[in-house]
Amino acid sequence: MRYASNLALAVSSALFAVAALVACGRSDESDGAPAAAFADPPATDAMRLGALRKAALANGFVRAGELAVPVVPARHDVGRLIFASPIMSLNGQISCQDCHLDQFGSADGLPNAIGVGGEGAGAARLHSGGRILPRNVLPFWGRGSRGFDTFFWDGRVQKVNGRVVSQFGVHAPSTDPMIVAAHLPSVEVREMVTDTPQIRDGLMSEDVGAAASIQSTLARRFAADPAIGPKLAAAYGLPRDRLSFREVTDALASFIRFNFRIKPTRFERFVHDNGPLSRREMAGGVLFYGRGRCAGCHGGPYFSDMKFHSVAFPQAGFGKNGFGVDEGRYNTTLNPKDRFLFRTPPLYNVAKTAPYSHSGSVVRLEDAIVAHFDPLRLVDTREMTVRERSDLYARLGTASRETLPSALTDEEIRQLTAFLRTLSF
Amino acid sequence: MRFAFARNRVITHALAIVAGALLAWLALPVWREAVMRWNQKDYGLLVEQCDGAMRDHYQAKMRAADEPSRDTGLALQAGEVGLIVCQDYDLYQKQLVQWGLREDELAQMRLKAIEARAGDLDEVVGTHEIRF
Repeated sequence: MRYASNLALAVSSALFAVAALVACGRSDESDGAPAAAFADPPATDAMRLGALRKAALANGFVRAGELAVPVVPARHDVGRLIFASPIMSLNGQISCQDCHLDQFGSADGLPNAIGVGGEGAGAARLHSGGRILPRNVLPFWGRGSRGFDTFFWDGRVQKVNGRVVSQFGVHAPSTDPMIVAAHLPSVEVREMVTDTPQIRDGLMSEDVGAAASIQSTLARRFAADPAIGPKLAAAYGLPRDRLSFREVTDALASFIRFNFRIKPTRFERFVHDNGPLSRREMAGGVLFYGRGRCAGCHGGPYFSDMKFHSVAFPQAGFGKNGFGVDEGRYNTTLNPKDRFLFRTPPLYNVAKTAPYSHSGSVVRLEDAIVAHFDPLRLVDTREMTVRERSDLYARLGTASRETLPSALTDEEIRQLTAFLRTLSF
Repeated sequence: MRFAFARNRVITHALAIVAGALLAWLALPVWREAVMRWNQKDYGLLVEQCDGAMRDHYQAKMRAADEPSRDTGLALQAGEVGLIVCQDYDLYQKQLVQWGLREDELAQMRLKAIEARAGDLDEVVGTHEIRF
């Protein structure tokens, strides 16, 4: 009898313990509920997987192969040499490659770019004494591919109704916005041109003629270069003395188009080939296209609507407008409605391109998501000056009129970052 | 003697069953209270999220009807995908029913979630009420 009672007690205790554990750990049983802290098993919820596929397609997601623009191999080969050559800098020693590095997902891993005078990569470059440029280096993924027609944080080169709108005005050097964009860094003071009295007196005139003068010099240098000149001439079927900056930038654009083209991702395999996603990735995708409202701006084939929006990110560095202010798109259009707006960043390889925002003020991808719906979490207003708080207030006003995501939990933010990692290749 | 032992055994078992039933009857409210406490935070969050998703969906639907366009259509679709959280809420609620909660307890948990900031009001009243 005593044995039976003890056995009954032991069994009931075990059952209770199991029940309590199940009750406490119930959230692991549903695909949509918070996932287990460590395991991330494959998603099997057909309804959610189907809804995610359908939403991705409705929002313009296509195979990577559909975005590629064909390029001539000889041109992207010589473009690779131009990309790595400091000849592109009139009076400095800097190449495109110095700020667009493979190890940082084709950006530089720094909050603000370091232009002429900078040496090395990463933190070493930051402390090398180079001139600081007030914006975060943009990665190159998808640039110049099909439909990618809006360039730079403020969209200063853009194709609108079939015409290229840029600071070149009616003198745009090409009808291809990618080639027009490739013309700009070589004439940006502090980016690739060292600010000297000679430059100030002779060339700093904000007109197309000054830019053309610099770029003619650069074209002659490339033509004369023993490694680049002959290949460039052969790629375009021209004698070396007839090469212009147009060929230089065309080759550079060909290289960027080819080397940084969008490639198949796990998400593509999921949407188009029934590939697997984990539970957490699937939950993040459902958030991305659902309550997170991310696709409202990060839609389309590049996960960007290529339009201009405001997110009240903290500001790092002195800003494009000085005193820690960057008025974004306004600097291009001078339309007051465009203050603090920036082009929606595409999200391919986003997990590799930290830090985030126009000024690189946010290091973690999770915090970049938080900035969209809870920006005050990222700043300590008591540590800010009155001016800084006032500027933040102005940015908050613009940002609050955007389509804001629901307030997301920390677990939901982790799910979103897991989903964003499926966009890496 | 054997008969008396058997009779005693029946009585003992009957008493044990009655005691067990009494204990279970007394323990049931405690069990329910424990289940409610363990689950209030997660269930309350789902109540809030589903409520927000339903509101978002309603507003997106109204906007799509007023200003039909691709953008408002996509916003409506986002609202529909957002409603998936209501299925999580529903599943969770059914699990709580499996664990012995009745509609009364669930309603109580929902009320607690809705009135999660009722404490703020108490503070405001406490601070500002005119005391005679």
